[in-house]
Amino acid sequence: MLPVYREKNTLVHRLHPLTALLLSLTPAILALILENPLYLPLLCIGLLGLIGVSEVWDECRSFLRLGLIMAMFILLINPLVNRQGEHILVYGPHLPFWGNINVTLEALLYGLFAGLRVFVIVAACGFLSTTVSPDDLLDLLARFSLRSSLAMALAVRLYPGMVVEAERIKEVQLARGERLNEGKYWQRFKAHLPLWYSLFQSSLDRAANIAEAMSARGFGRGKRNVYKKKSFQPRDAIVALPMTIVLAGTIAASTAGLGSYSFFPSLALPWNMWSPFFLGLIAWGNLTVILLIWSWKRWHWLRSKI
Amino acid sequence: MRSLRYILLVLAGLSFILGARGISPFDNWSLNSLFLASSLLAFLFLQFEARGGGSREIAALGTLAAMGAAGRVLFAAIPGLQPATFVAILAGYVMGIETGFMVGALIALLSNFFLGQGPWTPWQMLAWGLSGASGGLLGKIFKEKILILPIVVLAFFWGYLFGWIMNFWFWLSFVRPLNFGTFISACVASAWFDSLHAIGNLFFAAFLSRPVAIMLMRFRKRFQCVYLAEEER
Repeated sequence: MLPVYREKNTLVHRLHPLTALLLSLTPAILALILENPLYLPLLCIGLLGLIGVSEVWDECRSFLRLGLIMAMFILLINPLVNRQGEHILVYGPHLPFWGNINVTLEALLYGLFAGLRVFVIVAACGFLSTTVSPDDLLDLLARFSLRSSLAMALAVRLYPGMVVEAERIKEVQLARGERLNEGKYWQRFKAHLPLWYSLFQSSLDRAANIAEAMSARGFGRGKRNVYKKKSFQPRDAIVALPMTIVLAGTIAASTAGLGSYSFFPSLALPWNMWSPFFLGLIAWGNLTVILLIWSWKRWHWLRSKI
Repeated sequence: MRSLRYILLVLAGLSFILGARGISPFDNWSLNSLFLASSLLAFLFLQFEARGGGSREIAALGTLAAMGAAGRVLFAAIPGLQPATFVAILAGYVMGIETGFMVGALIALLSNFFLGQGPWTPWQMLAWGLSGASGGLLGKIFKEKILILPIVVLAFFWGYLFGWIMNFWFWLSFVRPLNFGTFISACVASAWFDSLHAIGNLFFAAFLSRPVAIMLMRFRKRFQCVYLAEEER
């Protein structure tokens, strides 16, 4: 199933795209910054809670599956290529130009950590894709780069039309007696080529019509009017505040070297005097936002106020 | 806008130098690489913005990006096989380096709206954008001629190069230690997908280059406007 944005009646779907972007990307950025394996599971649980409470579990499923596959791949490949670590679990064969393939405990645990990290990042991106409308994201981009975002918006609009056009051309070819779905793979590939030519030609003709229509409406002449669809609301500030505090706190503490952890050459104890700070900060940020989204759905008074 | 472009470029350069010198937090290459790719892309997009471009170019960009993305989504079931690289290269070959870059970058951004956005998006935009730009460079060398062989060779080569750029991102972000051996291992692991991509590109380029290039040239000429000097009239 392809990930599709669907409008829903939740707080996350009502947020300004910039706030939603901050909310989605905070777990991904934290996963990239934090190097201590103690914090990632908490980040992962918080993100899954966020997905659940935002009612996008079904839409995110394909992303979560992809994240799991990538995590498994990293978990498998890391111990084989990573030769650091003092505690050897398996003595592997000797390969020419490579050396011994020994699996160490440190490399195995680092693979697990890197796998969980990629899972959190993919899940966060899934959360972003399923809770923020592509149109809203393009509106955001248009403020900085009008021409490229206009080309992008055009492409988004043309894409479904192109699929319909492809189907129409296919039906015309079949009605003319073309055997598109018969024969070997190679014959089918060759039979489909005229369909591509026709589609390309009709798409370019459509592009020419669009260009003429844009010129006729005065595109590129004078200053452009700006129409804002979504403005900042109190709910944006309430969601953005805890996320900004968590992000700023983690970045500041990590820059000072407080959250650092090394898997190599041998494992150290992940718990240190700064662990309660990081765990508390992540837990507080996640819980605040999850509770807010949950309450917004059920508490009419809160919904009417923010 | 101009100062923003150069601030971005300076920040990216600074971040790279500090990261290479191992200064915290810039030595966190998972985050630093993402920042580098995004700021480079933002710089190139702002550069395109500053150059300007008429409605014709924007319409062509949108259409070609939609064509490439449609092809990528249609072939999503077969890993590695995607006409997106071919469309970007040919767009660059016929319409120029900048247009080629923009078509490639937009194909990645648009198709990921359907296949899923992620930290890979800036790197895919960069890789496909560069493939389009290299097509533009090839077009500049051969001028108006449509030579199939160089396009086929370039498209085949980009099948692997695209994979290596994506492996580079993967290696920087999720593999430790960062050394030549682990990078080669990541490339070996993806060799099958990269080969499929390269072979797919080869077929697309061999069979579709000439007719599609002719169509694109016709489109370009249709809107070409040449102002004659007074004395030539």
